Amino acid sequence: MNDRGQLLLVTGFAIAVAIVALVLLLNTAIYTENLATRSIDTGAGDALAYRDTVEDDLWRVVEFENEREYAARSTLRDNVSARVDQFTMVSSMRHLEGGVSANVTNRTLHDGTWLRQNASRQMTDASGTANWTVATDADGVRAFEMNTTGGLTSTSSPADDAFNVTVRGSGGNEWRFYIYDNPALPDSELAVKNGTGTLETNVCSGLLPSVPPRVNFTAGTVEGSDCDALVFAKGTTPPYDIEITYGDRAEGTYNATVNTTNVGTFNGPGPASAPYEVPVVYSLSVDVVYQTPELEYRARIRLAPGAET
Amino acid sequence: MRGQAHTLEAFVASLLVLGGIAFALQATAVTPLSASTSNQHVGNQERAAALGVMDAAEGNGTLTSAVVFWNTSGTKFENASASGTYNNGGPPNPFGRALNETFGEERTAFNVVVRYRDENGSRGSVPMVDMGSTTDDATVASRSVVLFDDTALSSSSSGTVSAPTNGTFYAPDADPDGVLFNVVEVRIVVWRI
Repeated sequence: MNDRGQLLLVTGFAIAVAIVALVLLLNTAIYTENLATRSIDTGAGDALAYRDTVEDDLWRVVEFENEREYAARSTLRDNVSARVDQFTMVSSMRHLEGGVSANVTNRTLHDGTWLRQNASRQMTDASGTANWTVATDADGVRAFEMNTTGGLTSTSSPADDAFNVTVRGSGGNEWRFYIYDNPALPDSELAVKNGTGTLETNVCSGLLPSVPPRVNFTAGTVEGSDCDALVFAKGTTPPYDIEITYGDRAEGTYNATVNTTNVGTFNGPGPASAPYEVPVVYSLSVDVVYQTPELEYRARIRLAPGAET
Repeated sequence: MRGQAHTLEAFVASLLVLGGIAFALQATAVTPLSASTSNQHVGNQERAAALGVMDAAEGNGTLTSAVVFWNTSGTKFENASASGTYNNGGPPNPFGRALNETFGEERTAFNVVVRYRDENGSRGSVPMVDMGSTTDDATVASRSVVLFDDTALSSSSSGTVSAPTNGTFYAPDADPDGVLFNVVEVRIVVWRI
């Protein structure tokens, strides 16, 4: 009977230890569950959001400078750089306050030229030459739209006589697009030759209006509707030489942005009488850098509008 | 004498047991509102919900509309209270309705503040929604909205942010030489009530 006190004490201790162990186990289980369901967010979402902001909105700033039609390329490049710097400063300031470095660095401006004939005239060059080279060694062409208004030659053998736009690829293959008037048809007629293929005449005839047509070469549309036969520079590879043949057999206006500074005889640079050339930034490559203590995000992105070639 | 000793021992033993239970209850006291790791979890969820609302609004353009929902002659957000803010929920536009649908039924309050920069990078801000003072467990979510000179006002005022027909817009032109107007930050502060 003398041992009973000890027994009670030991039992008390044993129960206490068991309960504490149980508590520890329960706590660990809760903590594990919490850890397991906690999002492993290192701020990657914010980095991607910053990149989206730059990707979606920075080009607009550059495009605006392009449309100001500067005469000197150096002025254009300085102004574009200043605008990109200001955009970066304003957009990254809020990240800096949170201890995050957000930046747009390492930019490369790709020179291009905007070719404009904004008043209707023959498709000849500035000195009136009918067969001429529009641009040489263009790595890309975009927003190439031509609105013919008249003067189309009447012929039944377009390959010999009709006004056409030629794109010669690096291997010498040619893509040709003809716009002319066929005396046997009520409307004008379009013909296309893709690379090494043969000439296809009377393409997309269902889209043609009774007046001379408006053709967007790079978007592949005639009068704003899709023309399946019209695929810009099909069968050729860049860089392209763009030529106009029989420019005196069509009248109208056009716009084209080419990724080269080597262009034919135009007025300008800067606003002048048609046709004239304007120095532009064809595209812009930048590094988007987003650094937090946990994360370093860096992405090289290329900014340019759609219809890339 | 022995009976007293036994009684004492029994008391000590029971104290040990009760102490263990008390310790156990302390260690596992986790309710959504108590300060613990779970509390952080609720905050994460609220932050994710706020970011979701903003990302959706950004995607369909209603976030930009909400930012330029400014009455230029009244110099406050359209139909806001006399204090210049919306106090009973989000603004009367699609972004505000999305906020109300997300947080209105969930015993969750939110404040919305729009921050902007001037040409030199100095900060200014204008409150959009003010539902009161935040608690200690409030969380913040924010997104950027880019405004251009030709961004049209979405309120009954006519004109653009850079040239309203009358009155002024709240933010200055952060790049007077270019087409960029400003990059504003929409901050949502969310907390449980």
